[in-house]
Amino acid sequence: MRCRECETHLQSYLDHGLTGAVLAAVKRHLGRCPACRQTLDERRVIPAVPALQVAEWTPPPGFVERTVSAAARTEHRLPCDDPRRAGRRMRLILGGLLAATLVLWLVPGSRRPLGHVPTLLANSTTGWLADVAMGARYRWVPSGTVSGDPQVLREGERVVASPRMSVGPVDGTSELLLDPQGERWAANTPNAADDFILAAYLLTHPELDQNLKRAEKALSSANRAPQFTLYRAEAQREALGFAEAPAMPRPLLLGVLAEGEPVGVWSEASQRILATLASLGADGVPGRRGLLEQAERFGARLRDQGESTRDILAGAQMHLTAGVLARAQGSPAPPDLDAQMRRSTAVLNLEVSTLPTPFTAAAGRWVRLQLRLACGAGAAALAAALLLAAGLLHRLCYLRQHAPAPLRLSRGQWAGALELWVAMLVVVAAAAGSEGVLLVPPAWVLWAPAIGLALISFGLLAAGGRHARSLGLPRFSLAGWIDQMVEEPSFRLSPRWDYVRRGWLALDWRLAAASLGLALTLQLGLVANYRVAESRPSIADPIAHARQPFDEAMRAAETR
Amino acid sequence: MVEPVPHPTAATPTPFLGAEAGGFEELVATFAPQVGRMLSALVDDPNVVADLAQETFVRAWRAQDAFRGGQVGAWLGRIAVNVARDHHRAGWQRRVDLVDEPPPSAACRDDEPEVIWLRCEAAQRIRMAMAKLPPRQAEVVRLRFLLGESYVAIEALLGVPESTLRSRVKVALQELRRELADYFEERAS
Repeated sequence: MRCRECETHLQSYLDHGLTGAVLAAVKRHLGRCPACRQTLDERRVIPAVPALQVAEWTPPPGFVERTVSAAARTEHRLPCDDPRRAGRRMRLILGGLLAATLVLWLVPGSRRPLGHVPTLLANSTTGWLADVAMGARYRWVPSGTVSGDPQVLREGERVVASPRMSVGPVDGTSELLLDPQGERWAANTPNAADDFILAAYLLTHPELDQNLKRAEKALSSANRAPQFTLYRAEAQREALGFAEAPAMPRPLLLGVLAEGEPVGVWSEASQRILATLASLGADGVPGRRGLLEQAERFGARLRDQGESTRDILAGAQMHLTAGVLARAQGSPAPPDLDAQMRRSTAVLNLEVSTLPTPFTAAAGRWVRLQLRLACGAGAAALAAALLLAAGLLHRLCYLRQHAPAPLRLSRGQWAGALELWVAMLVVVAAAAGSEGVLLVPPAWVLWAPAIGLALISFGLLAAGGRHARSLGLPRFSLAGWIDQMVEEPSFRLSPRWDYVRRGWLALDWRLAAASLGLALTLQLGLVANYRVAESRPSIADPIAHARQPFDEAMRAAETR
Repeated sequence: MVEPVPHPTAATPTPFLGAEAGGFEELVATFAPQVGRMLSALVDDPNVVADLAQETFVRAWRAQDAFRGGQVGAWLGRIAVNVARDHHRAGWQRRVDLVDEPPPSAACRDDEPEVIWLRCEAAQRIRMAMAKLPPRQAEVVRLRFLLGESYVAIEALLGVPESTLRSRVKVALQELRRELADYFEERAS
């Protein structure tokens, strides 16, 4: 007996209406067929009575005509072209991005004002992330604190001395850090120009030097001396023309080794600065005036708008240093020194908008916007990664139940995927823009909004023209174009993909792709930054390395 | 807007996927009884079945690009299931009202009172108990016991594997058994 036949007898079996051979056959079949046993159990609860069965349904009169006319009134369209669904999706994406940006703006904003971007962040957002990941400690200086004296060591505090404190909230990265237990010393001066400023302070502030001496003593008593070494060069003190400075127990700090690794690396910029100083000093021009002249030249280039933002920053740092040195040496300062220092502080705070030219004002606003966008993109990527996990889980469950369908998407889905891909490009471009904004000439930065606008326009067009229509842009439907190009029936939506067509799942799938791309981009940025960090030259002999530009400059001055 | 393209591998003999309304009309006339019967199993209120059937065909018309050939009946069935789900979702309040007194099926209407009681009392109680089940279970139970569909057919309709369907029915039956406990006692006595 087969299942089908057995099923017809089950109700009679339950009602004790079976006899003889049929009863035996049904019993035999039930003994070996679990499916029929389950059906029997079902019948015990729900008997197969005709009253329970749904009767035949006959359409009411005029049903066909009404249905046909109702269908004729409805526009025939693809699911992805449903404007309500598309609107919901767009609102969801934009809302998510906005919420993520707001969260990043508001939550850490109270403690980490983004206006005070550390130098590393100014150079590269991923560099900042990498530093944080590697355990670097930053001290975030509150806005507007411009005091006259450097902060001096207080027992139990991590910050020993922050040379930047005296000149205002510059970036907070150039700090001497001291663990309260004396476990670890590090002069965290990733920017070479910061080294120079630190050196200038050590030249002029004996109390800082006292702190350094105490640190050295503590370390040597703990047999940690090799981990922290200060290199000095008495000769360069004279070369720089600081010999007559009133308080100068410690000469120029050239390099700092923390745990055997050079931390303060002399960049090309600082070598240039020092070489300039040396040559000016050799010519008999006081160092500070040379610095001011150099800074003036930077300012002129800034006005010409031809230099990169990095040069702007370097110029501002030189302004500041020169001013600080002039004050420390008690020399008569130029009349506009205070104004220059204020301006330079503003530049280093990325408050470029306080500078007089309209260009710098716009650049400042753009820099801030980019930084915020980059942070927002990071949060959006995190949110999207969560969605990705949920989507993948769902997908796995689905694939476990069904044979995987061939990858056939409808035109609407292709267009939708393209749309999202373009949107992702825009976000990545915004993040990349914040990466490069301080490294590329400002004129390039001004192109970024135009490029972004073009990308968004293309995305709107790719989305089937529905957003384009609402914005009054020329109507061009990429979906329609693909439709014309591809007459292939296999291009159509498979019923297996039915679930993809439902709004939130479709969103899931596309957001998953977008978030993956975004995460990959950020990751690549991190890797690239590490590459850059690794490619820095390792300095075998810091003294010789630091002396090199001086010696060359001196030789050049002598031959002149 | 993208114009519909006739599908070469469509199983229907009529030009359903064409722009001509004639093919669509024939399709509605052919499949309306089947769709209507399925919907009357899935919803309690017989007055909305015609509306839902019309909605099913209108959706099929709109989504005809998504049809990749094969059984038109099964495709319409899947749409009908979605229409019924939307109906339950939209008319949640109305559905709660109906839990108390689902209308009797046609077989229970035009008969002698004793016969109605004997034959239809059980059915009426079972339908009331079914209306209290969670939507996912109720869907399967209705298709299985009110429509008399096989598990294979329900799997094709709902896109849920047979094993899951069987376990859903099992859980639902336990619930029904609990709900109908007094009825079983009555019948046993």
